[in-house]
Amino acid sequence: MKLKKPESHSNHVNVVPMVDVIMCLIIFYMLAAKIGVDTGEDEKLKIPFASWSKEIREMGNSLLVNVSENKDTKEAVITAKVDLTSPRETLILEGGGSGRRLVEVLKRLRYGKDLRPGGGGENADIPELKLVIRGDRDMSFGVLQRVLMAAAEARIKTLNFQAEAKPTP
Amino acid sequence: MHVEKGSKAVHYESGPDMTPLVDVVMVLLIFLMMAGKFDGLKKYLSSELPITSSGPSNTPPDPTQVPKQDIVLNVTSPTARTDTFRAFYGRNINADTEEQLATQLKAMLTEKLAAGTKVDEIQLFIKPTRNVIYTNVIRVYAAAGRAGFTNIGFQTADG
Repeated sequence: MKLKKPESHSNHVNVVPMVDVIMCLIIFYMLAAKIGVDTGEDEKLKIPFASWSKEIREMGNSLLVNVSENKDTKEAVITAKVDLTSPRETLILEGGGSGRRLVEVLKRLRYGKDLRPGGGGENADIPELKLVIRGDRDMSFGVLQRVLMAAAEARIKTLNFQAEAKPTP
Repeated sequence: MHVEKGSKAVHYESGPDMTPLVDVVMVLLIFLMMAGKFDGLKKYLSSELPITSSGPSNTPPDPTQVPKQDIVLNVTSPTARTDTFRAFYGRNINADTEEQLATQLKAMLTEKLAAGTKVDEIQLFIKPTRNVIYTNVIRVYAAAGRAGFTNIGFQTADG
């Protein structure tokens, strides 16, 4: 028996290839795009360029601090998103100003609520705590030095200075 | 229009209707394109050494640790708040550009390695004065990293 090929009588555009492409795009965006991830970076800060740097993929147990210098008062301006649920807050080094002290925040993260080595639960230590410094390229080392001393006081061993890859001329 | 009684309407469509699916998928796609953020991988200069004070330490050395060779690289700014710097260490290092510094540091490290010192046993401390701007501090750090130093830290400034 001879079979006759049925004729296509559909007037619609075939959307199947388009759906395939769109599904691929969606999967790509779902995997590659960061949605709702806020590490507290201050996008206004101009970070320095570096001709040599490392890529760090694992940034767990870290606190990112934005550090800049007030042009008029020459005082350090430090902000960080200390808690995941709270917005970015201003931290102070010592003396006047409103906000929590940077060294206390670092000690709290490093040693837990009791601010001293040892303990479990909410007093548990995080020896691998890292400090990520997102510094303004125009600030002076005097400002950075005070942040580094606060980190040393809190016994933070690893410091990561965020930089931009040097643009190729 | 007159339709004959008893005649069956001809329907050639087969398969599911894709229109709602396409609508939903397009909405999802637009949302992800608008809300997504592509950072790429950030670059970092990593230091495992805490900042140290200038001068001799009061802490006795740890007998279990291999003694480290300290190199203190002084960094100054010739005039206040300028984009230039000068880095110096003894007679070996005297540089005012990142390239020059990287070359001199590499030559010094090669000499030390040839003398039998391991790279892990050398600690390079960058000691900038307070007025050196951060971008120059990072330049010095990058030069040290390019030269091959692995233990890089900071020392407090005096001036």
